[in-house]
Amino acid sequence: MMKRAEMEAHLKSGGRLGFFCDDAFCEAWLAEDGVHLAILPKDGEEMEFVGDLDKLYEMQIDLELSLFPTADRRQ
Amino acid sequence: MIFRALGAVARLLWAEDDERAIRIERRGENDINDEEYIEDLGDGCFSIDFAAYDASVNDKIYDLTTNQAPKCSQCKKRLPAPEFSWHGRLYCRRCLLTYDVLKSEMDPNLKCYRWPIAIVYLEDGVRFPILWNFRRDTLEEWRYARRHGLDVEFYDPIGSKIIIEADMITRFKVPNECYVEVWTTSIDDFVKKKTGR
Repeated sequence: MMKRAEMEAHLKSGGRLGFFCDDAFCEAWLAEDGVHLAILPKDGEEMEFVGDLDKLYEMQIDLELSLFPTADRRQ
Repeated sequence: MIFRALGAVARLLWAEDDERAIRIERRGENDINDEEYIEDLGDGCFSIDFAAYDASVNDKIYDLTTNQAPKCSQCKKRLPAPEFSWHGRLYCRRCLLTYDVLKSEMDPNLKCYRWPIAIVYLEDGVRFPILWNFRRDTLEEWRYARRHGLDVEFYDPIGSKIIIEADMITRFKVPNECYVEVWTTSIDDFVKKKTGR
């Protein structure tokens, strides 16, 4: 499980975090208005949300996710 | 005047009686994680482990074949069984990655409160955990119900209602350092209540 400080450092350095939640690929990155989270379900439309780092960290803990540094898969 | 005085005396007597009947003990969390709190309830063994309570509640307490099974917070159905717990709310696989749930649970306005837990002792020896002073003053609520021969309403550590005869309760135990994290209503629920959607 990634520590909150590690997540923050990685996102602030311009990196992205990817993880699989159920059967969807998800990706988080930092923008001016907060932490963006994109959900790319296997079947279905892409969704994007703006939250903050705390909510992403809580999501990782509650849903037992494994976050990893990723290249932007949407480019 | 006399009636008013008699009323005051009666209230005092009731209060004294309540104080005798009820003992509130304050102890550390370790005291309630020991063997003393392992209870036999029907067919199974119920161990109160507050550290793992949230994580274990789906698998160990509810029998998914009965109507005790928990409901998905979003679709309110028991089947498929909710597999995910997010901010204390349970979601089934179908609802977890939907727009409303994600938008609601990712909202920075969601807040977490640490809420104290108490143990209720019943006259038949059963003990169970409740949220202490959740929404109402627990002791006042119990006293009122007992005086009027009513049932009293509590909330378990995941916020479900427990209704029980006030007369069956013999004691409350309120540990000092035992709490659960209670999250504010999801933004989605809040919007639904406000708009009636």
